[in-house]
Amino acid sequence: MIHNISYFIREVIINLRRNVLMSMASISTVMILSLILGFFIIIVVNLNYWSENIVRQLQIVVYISDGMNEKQIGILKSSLDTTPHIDRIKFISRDEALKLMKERLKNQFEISDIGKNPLPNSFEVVVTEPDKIPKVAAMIKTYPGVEKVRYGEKIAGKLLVINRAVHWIGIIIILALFLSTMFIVSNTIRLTVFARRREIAVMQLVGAANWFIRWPFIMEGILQGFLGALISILLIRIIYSYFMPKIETALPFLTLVSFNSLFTAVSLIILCTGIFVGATGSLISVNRFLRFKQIHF
Amino acid sequence: MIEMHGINLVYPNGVQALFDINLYVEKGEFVFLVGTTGSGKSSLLKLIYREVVPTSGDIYVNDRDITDMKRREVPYLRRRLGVVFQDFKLIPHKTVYENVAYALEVTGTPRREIRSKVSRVLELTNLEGKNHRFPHEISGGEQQRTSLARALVNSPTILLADEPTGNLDPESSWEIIQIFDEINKGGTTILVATHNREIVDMMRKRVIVVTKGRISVDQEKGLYFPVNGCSQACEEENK
Repeated sequence: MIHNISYFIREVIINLRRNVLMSMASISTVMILSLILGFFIIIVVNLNYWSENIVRQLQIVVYISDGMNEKQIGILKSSLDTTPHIDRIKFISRDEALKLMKERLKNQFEISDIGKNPLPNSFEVVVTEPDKIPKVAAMIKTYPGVEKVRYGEKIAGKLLVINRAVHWIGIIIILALFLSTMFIVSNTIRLTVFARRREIAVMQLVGAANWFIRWPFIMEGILQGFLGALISILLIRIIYSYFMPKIETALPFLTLVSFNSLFTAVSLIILCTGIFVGATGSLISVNRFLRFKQIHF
Repeated sequence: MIEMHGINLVYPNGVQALFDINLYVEKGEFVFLVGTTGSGKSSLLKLIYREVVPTSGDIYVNDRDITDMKRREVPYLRRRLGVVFQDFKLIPHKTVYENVAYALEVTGTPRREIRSKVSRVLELTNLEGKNHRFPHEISGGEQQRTSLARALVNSPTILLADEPTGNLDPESSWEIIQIFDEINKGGTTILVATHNREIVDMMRKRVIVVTKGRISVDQEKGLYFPVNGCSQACEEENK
């Protein structure tokens, strides 16, 4: 067994060296496709992150009827507390609301002369899942002491739709890219095996068992997939760390996902895809030629 | 050693290549199979190394019935046979040494043993000094000797050769045949399918003429065109 493994490793290295062009074809195909796949994953993750961030800022404002005393407000708060899908609740007293408003409109006009505070007491409610906002808002509306519930119905609805679209389109693009990567890479590897089909027939004639023929090819496929993936990961790393600061300075409102948190996941996906595609691509094509019987007359 | 009983062979495209072949080759024999192209002599050899399976009949190789052999047993049969082809069938990106060594690698032979066996067989086939050459860097005769070295390195009990001199000049052909003769003296059974009349006539070994899928003549110390009882085959060839 050990003898065989060392033989296979020698075979793989020799074959890579002697079939340089073919090996380069497979490796660069894996590299280019992984590069595209990797960047799309990064773009999609960033878009998702961005749109999630926006949606997360959505909240429900619950205006409390005038004339509710502290005890009644306390009851309302406890019923909010027991409402499902609510993450956080913050009480904003009418005084605080006025202060906030003054701050916000500081430079626009003077409101200190508005004699009586017209603002009501309110709760700011953050929901666990943005999708649930309309449902939760409708429920809160029925509670006693609630005068009005606001969550920017129209905008929130649109944002939610966009957010969901970004999410699904991202998944679809990545899946499509993933499948085409698999297809193209396994085709390229199939071509490299095809170029050596006569060799496979000779090996069989000399009395090589099928597994003995198969393994070096599979290991070669794995190595090619691995090398292609590795190069593309390095390139992604270099390009992303070069461009990320530039994008962040140019578009300050756009917070990008830090590369380090993404890098491990993207690398793993690319490496696994490369290795898997390399192995299955060679396995499928070698098996085809192992079963292939040439008939001469 | 090799026995065939009532062999019929029909290829998947419906062409019948062999009709009711009965053949017995003893251990240590040297046999020439002659006949026109398409007569079925190659098919006959292919049956022995199980490249094709007969439609009906039995084949025994080394006392083992190979007609009901399982697929995974075929490599073991082939390791005990040596096969040489007209087009050499060398692996192009392996050196002479590696091509020969491959036949031992598949059996899991230790490296040291491989080294000594390969150099011995390369010596026998006059290929010393060509170890690190690739097939495209050596002559046709040398390629055929490499393929012969690969066939012999496992010390097979039977050596099969399908038109081994078909692509070679007379001198190289003669060199190959002399190596065959030498191995045969060591007890290896040899079956050679050939068109090379000179060699057959010079060697005076057993000659089997295959005509349209049937054995038409089987003579000890025969000639390419048998003197007595010239069959339809040789008449056709004479035309």
